[in-house]
This record gives sequence, C-alpha cells and structure tokens, in this order.
Amino acid sequence: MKMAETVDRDGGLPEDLLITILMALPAKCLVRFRSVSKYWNSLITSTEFINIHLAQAKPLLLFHHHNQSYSLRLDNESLDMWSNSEFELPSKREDDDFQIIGSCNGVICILNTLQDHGQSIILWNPSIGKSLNLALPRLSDPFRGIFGFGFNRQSNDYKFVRVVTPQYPVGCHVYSVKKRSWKAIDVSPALGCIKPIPSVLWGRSSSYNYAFLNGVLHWIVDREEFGSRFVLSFDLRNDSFGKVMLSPYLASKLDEWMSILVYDNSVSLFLNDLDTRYIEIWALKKYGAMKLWARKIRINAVGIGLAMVCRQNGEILMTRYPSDEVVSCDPQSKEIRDLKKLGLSDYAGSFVESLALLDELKETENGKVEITQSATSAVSSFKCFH
Amino acid sequence: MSSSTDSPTLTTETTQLSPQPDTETAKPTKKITLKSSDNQIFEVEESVAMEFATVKSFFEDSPSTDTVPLPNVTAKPLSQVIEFCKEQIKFKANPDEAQKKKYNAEFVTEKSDKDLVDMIPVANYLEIKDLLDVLNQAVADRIENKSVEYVRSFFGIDNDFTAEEEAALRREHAWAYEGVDED
Repeated sequence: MKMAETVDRDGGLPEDLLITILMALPAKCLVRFRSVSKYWNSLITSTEFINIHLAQAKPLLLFHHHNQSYSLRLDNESLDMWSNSEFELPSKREDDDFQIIGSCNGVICILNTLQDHGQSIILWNPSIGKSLNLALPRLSDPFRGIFGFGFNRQSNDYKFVRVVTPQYPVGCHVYSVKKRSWKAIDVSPALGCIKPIPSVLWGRSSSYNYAFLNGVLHWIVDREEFGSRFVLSFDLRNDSFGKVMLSPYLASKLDEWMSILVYDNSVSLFLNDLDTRYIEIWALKKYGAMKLWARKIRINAVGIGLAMVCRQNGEILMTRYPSDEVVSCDPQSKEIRDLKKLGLSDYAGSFVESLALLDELKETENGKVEITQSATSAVSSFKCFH
Repeated sequence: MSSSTDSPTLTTETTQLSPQPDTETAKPTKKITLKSSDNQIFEVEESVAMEFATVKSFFEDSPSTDTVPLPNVTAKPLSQVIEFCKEQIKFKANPDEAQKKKYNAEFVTEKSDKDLVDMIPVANYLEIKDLLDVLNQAVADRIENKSVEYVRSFFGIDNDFTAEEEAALRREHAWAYEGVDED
C-alpha cells in the first residue's frame, strides 16, 4: 500500500497538496501570500510553480479599446467579462504613446514611442503588477523595426525581437529577460533587404503583426528589390532566421490586405480583398517534409477589417472596417456575428492570468533599475547600427 | 445499478479463495471494516468503501481481508470523509447535479478550517478525487481575500521572515495587499 508523504509543514500538508490549493488562487493573491513564510515565498516564486500555474490558467482574451482602455474576457461562448479585469497601465507620462505589440503567457509587450523621441519596450504582467522597462538600442531615423515577443520554453526565457528594416544586411536585436541583455544577431545577407508589408489601413501597423507558434515568431515581409513577399521566421530556441515562401497564389495578392495569425494551430495568413468581397485564411501545414499553404476558409464578406485572434471554440474575432466593431466568424457555418458588447477594439489577443516574471529579479531589490542600466549600457555596443 | 456493486471485485488470481462457495455475493449490504490510525473501527457498506480507490486496490490485492488498516488516517477526518462518500453513492444512483452541488457546498460550509485542512491528506491518501477537488476549492475560497496573518493562523504557520524582509516583500507588491477582507 502506498503511504502518503507526511511532511509536517504548514498544517501538516505535503507540498503537492499545498500546491493544488494554491493553484486555485488568483495571481494577485499568490503575490500577497509570498509573505506568509519563507517556504511559501520560495514555492510561489519557483519556476516550476509558475509553470504549473500557467498550464492550468483559464484562457482569456485581452482587448484594447478605442478609448485607450483594456479589458479582459473569458474565452468562452459568451465571452463573459473576467472578474479581475480592472488593471491599470504601468505609469504613463504625458508624452508616452503605448502600442501593444502582443502578449505571451500573460505578459503584455508594449512599445512606447515619443518618450524623449526614442522608443522603449515595456514588458508588463498586469496580474502581478510587475513591469520591466527596456530601452531599445537607438537607431537613426529612416530605420524602422518589425517586432515580436515570445517565450522559449526550453530555456524558460521571454524574448523580445526587433528586426531593423530596411537595412542591408538586416539588423536584429534580441532581448533576453533571463540574461537581462541585448544581443545582436547576424542575419544572412541572402535575406536581402526586407521591409514590413504596407501598413494596413486601420491604423495597426504591420510592424507589430506577427504569429508566435511553438517557439517561433513569424512576420510577413516584402523583399525590397524584387517586390516579392515571404514569411520571415525567427526561432527563439536558437536565435536563427528562416524563410517560408508563399504559394504563387498568395504571392500574387500583393495589393490586398494581408495579415498573419495563428489559426488551427498553424501559422496562417488572412487575406482580405475589398474589391471581390471575400476573406480567406491559408494555413501553413506540414505534409511530410514539405510545408504547404492550405486554404482553410473562404467566406464572402463585406466590410471586414482585421482578423485579430482565434478563439478556443475555433471562431475568429475580427473587426469591421472602418468602424472597428468586433465580430466573431465561425469558419464552419461561415456565419459572422456582431458582438456589440465588446465595443470598438483595435487589438485582441490571447491572454492568461499568470505569475510570469515573478521569478525575475527577485534576488535584487532594485532589479528594475538594473535591467534598465544593462539595457542602456548595451546600446553603446550597437553603435555599428547607427 | 446497485446490483453491480454487490459482487466483490475478483481478480484472475483468486485460486486461494476458501473452498466453500462465495455466499457474500447474495447479501445486499456487505460491510467492510476500516481501522483508523487511532484504532477506531468503522463499518461501512462495501459500495462506500469502494469509493476509496486506496481501499479498493487493497481488496484487489488481498481479497480475503476483512479489516483494512488505514495507518495515515485518524478517526475524525475519516468519519467526515465517509459521510461525504455515503452521499456521493446516492448521487451515483440518482444523478442530480444541482442537488450534488448543493450538498457539496453545504458539506464544506459547515466544517471548521481545521476539519477541511485535516481532510485533505485523507482524501488524497484514499484517492477520492471529487472530494479533494471540493476541499481544495473550499480552502482556496476561504483564504482568497484574506490577509497574510489570517493565512498563517489558518494553516498554523510561523512567520520566519525578519521584519525587514517582510516589509520589503510588502513594498514590492503593495497593490496586492489592497482590498483584503477584515480578518
């Protein structure tokens, strides 16, 4: 007969049983209970606990609205308002301009422009009220960036990526939260001179449009000199770039609205032709060693803007153009339903309440300062890009 | 429905069974004896005892036993766990999710903090998944909006932080201490 572990600590509860109780608590509560005891503190801030907590978190959706507010809803049929959804932005100064780049594991990546005419990145976990500020290595003016943010499960590390365009050879800066430092990545000159595809009309720049799947970031880019389009990928596991060609059909659609998202657990392209009034989704599927673009959806639809995020039930949240009202598109029935209660949104993405970043910088009280310093000091080593 | 629970679980290796025919299958209410670590004896119906995965596998391993010793379980939480499982058997026979939810809620509401915490290792040891879920959620609900001091006394934990260490943690996450219920 198997004997139960009898660790007489904290009400006589063995650690695995204490963990199951703590798992049922919201992140804010866990942050507070760090001060119960040294044991609780080390348990709650351990990477293992943070990862188990993340794995059982309820799927939520994060919205950014026209009135600059944020809201969180449960990713269920009725998209119920999430009870803990009131959160405030990290301190914002008068001239700050926040733009959500994306979110991963409950950490929201925000690009702050205008601040002293430079740019900085804020990694913000609203569930635990923690944010990290990263000063971006400065660039001289005509250069722009395409951005992405993701998590490398193998090294348990959040990474922010900026690819500098148009510039030859392509420049790239990667910030590792774990290492607290920037790194310049050499990009093969074979990529040529690339730039983000023309910005979509509704104000959301294609610079922030990426799909993150299984540790790899994907953007749609245009190759400057030939006017050809392809999907640029960046693998966070080994900091390497890759290239996925488009099918001749997709490559011919240069004049249509195109964006990238994760759909059907695949990197997918959303195609929106206002003239012929249809929307299409093409998913990048693996067939043995081959990767091919397969058309998953074609729906006759008028006045659709952006495909924002795929829901748990397989529906896709989209916006109406130009109003930015939110609609839910069911690919099976091809039905597009209005979701008036969601208001006007220019961003929606998957979100979870998590303890991510709680284990960062815990050894130093002034960790926040340190990260800014290391980020700033790294800037000097990027003079070659100026 | 209930007839299926009347026959004891037999494995293919039951050649050691006593020679006389097994008359127990005919009895509608076979009792099983559980013995707590403080030597209290509990006679429970077999169907209830079979809710305890640990007891069930004990019988599968040694079918001829009539008393199951539970060396990690004291009498009080055991009696409460039995009380819970008796009700669950009824819901198995007549499924009524609303009533079951109501009963589960009442079951935990009337228990003291200590009773709840004491039952958790028992439910875990006896592998009663439903009860474990109910208890975990109940404990989480009781401490969710509470202060750190409340949680320490709830679990009987000594504060081993120095005043400076605790103050530093509270400073770091001051907002997490807002909106907490009165103890």
